[in-house]
Amino acid sequence: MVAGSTSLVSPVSSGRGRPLRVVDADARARLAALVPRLAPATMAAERVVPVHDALATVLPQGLMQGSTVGCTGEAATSAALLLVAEATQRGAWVGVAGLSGLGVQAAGEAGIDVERLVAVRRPPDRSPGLLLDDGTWGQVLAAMIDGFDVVLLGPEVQVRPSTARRVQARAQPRGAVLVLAGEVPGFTCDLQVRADAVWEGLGDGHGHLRARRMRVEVHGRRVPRPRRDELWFPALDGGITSTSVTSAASSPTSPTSPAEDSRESLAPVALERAV
Amino acid sequence: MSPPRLAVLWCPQWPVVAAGAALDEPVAVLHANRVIARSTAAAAGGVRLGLRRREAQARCPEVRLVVHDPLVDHRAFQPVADTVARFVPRIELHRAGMLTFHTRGPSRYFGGDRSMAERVLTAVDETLGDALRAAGPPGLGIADGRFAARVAARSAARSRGSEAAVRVLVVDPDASSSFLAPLPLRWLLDAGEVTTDLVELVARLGVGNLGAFAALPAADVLARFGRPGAAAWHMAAGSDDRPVGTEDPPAGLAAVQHFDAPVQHLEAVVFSGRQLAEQVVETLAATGRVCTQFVSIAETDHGETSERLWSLSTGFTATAMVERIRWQLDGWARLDAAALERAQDPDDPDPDLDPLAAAGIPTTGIIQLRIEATEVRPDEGVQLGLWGGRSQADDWAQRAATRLAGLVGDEQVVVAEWRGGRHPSDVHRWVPASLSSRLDPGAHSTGSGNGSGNGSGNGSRNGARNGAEAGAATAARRPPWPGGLPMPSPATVHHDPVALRVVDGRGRPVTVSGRGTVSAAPARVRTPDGGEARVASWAGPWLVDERWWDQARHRRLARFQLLTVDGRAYLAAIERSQWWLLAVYD
Repeated sequence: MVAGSTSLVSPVSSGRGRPLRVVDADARARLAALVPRLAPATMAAERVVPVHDALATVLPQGLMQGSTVGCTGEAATSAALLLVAEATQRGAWVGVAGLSGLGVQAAGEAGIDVERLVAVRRPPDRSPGLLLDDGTWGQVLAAMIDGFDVVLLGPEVQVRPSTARRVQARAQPRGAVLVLAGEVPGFTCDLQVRADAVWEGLGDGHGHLRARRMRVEVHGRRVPRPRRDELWFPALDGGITSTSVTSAASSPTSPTSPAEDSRESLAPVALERAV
Repeated sequence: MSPPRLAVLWCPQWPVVAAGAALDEPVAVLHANRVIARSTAAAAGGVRLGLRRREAQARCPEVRLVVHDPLVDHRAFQPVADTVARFVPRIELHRAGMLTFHTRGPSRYFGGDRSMAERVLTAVDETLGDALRAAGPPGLGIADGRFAARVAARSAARSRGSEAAVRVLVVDPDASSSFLAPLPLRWLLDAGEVTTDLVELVARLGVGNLGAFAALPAADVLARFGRPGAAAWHMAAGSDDRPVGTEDPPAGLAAVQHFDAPVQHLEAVVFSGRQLAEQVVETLAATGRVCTQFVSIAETDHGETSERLWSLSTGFTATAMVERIRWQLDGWARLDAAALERAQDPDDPDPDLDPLAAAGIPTTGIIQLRIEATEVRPDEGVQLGLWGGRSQADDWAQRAATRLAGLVGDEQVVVAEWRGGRHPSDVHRWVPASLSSRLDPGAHSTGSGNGSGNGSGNGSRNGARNGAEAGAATAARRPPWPGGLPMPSPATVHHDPVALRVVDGRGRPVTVSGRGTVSAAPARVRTPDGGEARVASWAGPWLVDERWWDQARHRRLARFQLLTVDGRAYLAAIERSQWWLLAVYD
C-alpha cells in the first residue's frame, strides 16, 4: 500500500512545486482503483470461486464462497462439472459424494483437473439408499467442507434437512462451495442452475453425438431476474463456448471442420513414422 | 585448503536394529507409510526400501512392521556413540546409525588410520553384540573429505565380514578423488543434500560417473546448476569439508544455562534447552545466518559431561535443536526419577546388568546446559516450487482424505486413476486415496532409503514437491483408445449396468444378429423405473468383441447411442439379447 501511494503522489509533488490540487486524470483513476483494496471489509461478493469463461454471461461474478448451487435439468451433472472446472485449474480440490456414477472422462472434458478429485463412494454391500446414517453423513460432509474448496454432491446423499442446514452453515466460514448435481434432498440452494440440452450429430442409425447446445438458466436469491444463455458444451471442436460469441471470433481457433482437422493432424504422425 | 581427514562409522538399517529385530526376523520400519529400513530377512523376502505398507505386507506376509520413532533410534545409538567417544574426543552425529570424527589425533595415538579404525570397530562390535546381525554389521571408512569418508564407510559395511578388519576401508591421503571417480552418480543421493532431479539431469547430459562430473570446470558447474550443483561437484571431487557456503560462527556464540539446584527431570532441562536454542537462533537470524552445526554440552553436579555435535545441512530451527538435545539427554541420562533411584539404589542386585550403568549414567542431576553454534551459513531460506509446489489446499485435501478414510473406511475414499479402455466405465478406475501417491506427501522422497534420522521437516517438504510434479506429468493428453467411444463422454456411468427394454415400431425387442445387423430401428426405450420414451434418433451398432482369448472374461456386445424425444441421450448395449444401460449423457 505504501509503495502504491508514493507512486501515485510523486509525479505530482515532484513537478517543480506545482500545486497538489492539479492531479491528472490518470492519477485519479489509479486512486479510484486503490479504494477497493484499501477498504477494511471484504464484501461477500468478492470471495468468489471463478467459473469457466463460457459461463460469464450467467455467472459474471463466479460462485460465491460458502454458497450452495443446485443444478437441475437434463444436463444437470454436466453443468455441475462445468461449474467446478475452473476452480480445479487454479489449484482447488474437489470432494465428490453421492455420485457413484460420475464419469471421470466427462469431468476431464469439462475442464476439471481429474488429479484434484477425491470421491467418497458407497460401501459395496449396501443399497444406495442406506449408504450411511444421518450422523455419519453429517461428519463426512463436514470433513469434506473443511478439506476441499468445492464439494460436489449427488442424489445419493441422504441427510435430514437439519443436518443439511448445519453443513451449509459450516460451509460459510470455511468458504467452501457446495455444488449439487441433480436433486439432493434437504439442501436449500442460494443459486439454481437449470441446464437443458439439445444434442446434435446423431441421425437415424448413423452419426454419433457430437455437440450439445446447453440452455442455461440461473436464478436465485441474489439474482433479481433469471439470467439465460446458451452454450456449446461441447462444440464440434470439443471446446466450450457461449453461442452468443460470434462464430467469427471462434473461427480462427477452428478453421476447419473436425473431420478435416483430424485428417490434418494424422498426416504428420504418418510422416514421422515413415521417416 | 585440503579437506580434513575424517572417519565415518555407518551402521546399516539402524532403525531396524533400534526396533530390536532378532536374527532372521523380518522387520520393516515405516515412516509416512513407506519402508525406510528393513532387516536382512525382510530383504530376502522381497521388502524394498520405499515400498508402501501394503506392498511390503503383500511381498512378505510375516514381516513385523514398526512405526519409525527417532527417539528410539537415538536412544539405541547412544551406547555406540559412547563406545566411540572412548577413543576420540569429539564425535559428530548426523543421524542415528552414522557418526563422524576427525582422525588426525586418534590415528597418531593408536598408530595409524587402520590400526585405530580396527580398534574402534572391534569395540563397537562388542558393544552391539548380536544386535546388529539382523541388519548387517557396521562399516568404518576413512578418507579425505566428508562425502568420500561416507562412501568408504558404506562400501566397507557391504563386505559383511565377521572380522572387524574386513569392514574397514581406508582411502589413502589425497586419493579421495581417484577413489570416487569410477563410482556412479547415484552415490550423491546418499548424502541427502543433492536432489534426484539434479543427479538425473547431470546423467542425461552425458556425465556417467563422479570422476567425469568432478572433471568439469567448477565455475561452469556453478553457472549451470547453481549452488546445489557446486556442492555436488565438491562432493564428487572429494574436496568437501563442510557444506558449501558455511563459515565459522562469530566468536562466543554460545548460550549457557546454569541451574542452581541439580535438575533431574528431562522435561525441565529440555525446556531450558528450548530457551537457549531460541537465543542462539535469534542471534544468528539478526545477522541473516542460520546454524548448520552445533555442539550441546550437559554437565552434572559430579562433573560428568555429555557432549554431542549435531549437523543439519539445511540449517537448524530452534525446534530442531531442541529435538537433538532431547535425543542426547534421553539417551544419556534417562533422567526420570525412577531410573535415577534405581541407579542410586545400593541394594540393586546387579548394577552392571545395564550396559549404560557401566558406561556411566550420571549420578546426579544436571547443573549446566550449554549450546554452541560451531558452523553457520547465510540463511537463503528454502525455495518452494513456483509450479507444482505443494499448496495449502493440497495439505488440507490430504488431511480431509485421511479424516474421511477414518469415517467411512479406507476403501471408500478414492481418487481416479486413468487406465484406458473401450467402455466409459473402464477408462478410469477408482483407487483408494491411501494407495495413491497423489495425496501422499512422502511419495518419491529423495533418498528415502536413508532419511531415517533426519527428523526436521525439510526432507519431507522436498518429497512433497516431487510428488506433485509427478502427478502433473500424467495429466498430459493421451491418444485415443482404439475402440473407445468418441467425445463427448457421458457424465454418468453405470458401473453396474441397468437392464433396459428396447423395442421397435411394432413392439418387438430389437436384436442384433451375429453378423452385426440390427433387426429393426429402435423406436421405444423402457427403463426399469417404469418410464418409457420414444427414440428420436439413434446410432449403432458398434460391435465390441473383447478378450476372445479368455473364456471367463470374453464379452461380445453391440453398443448404441439413443436419443429420446425428451432430449435425453443414453449409451446402451445389447449383450446376449439383453439390453443394458451403460451410461447417460446428462
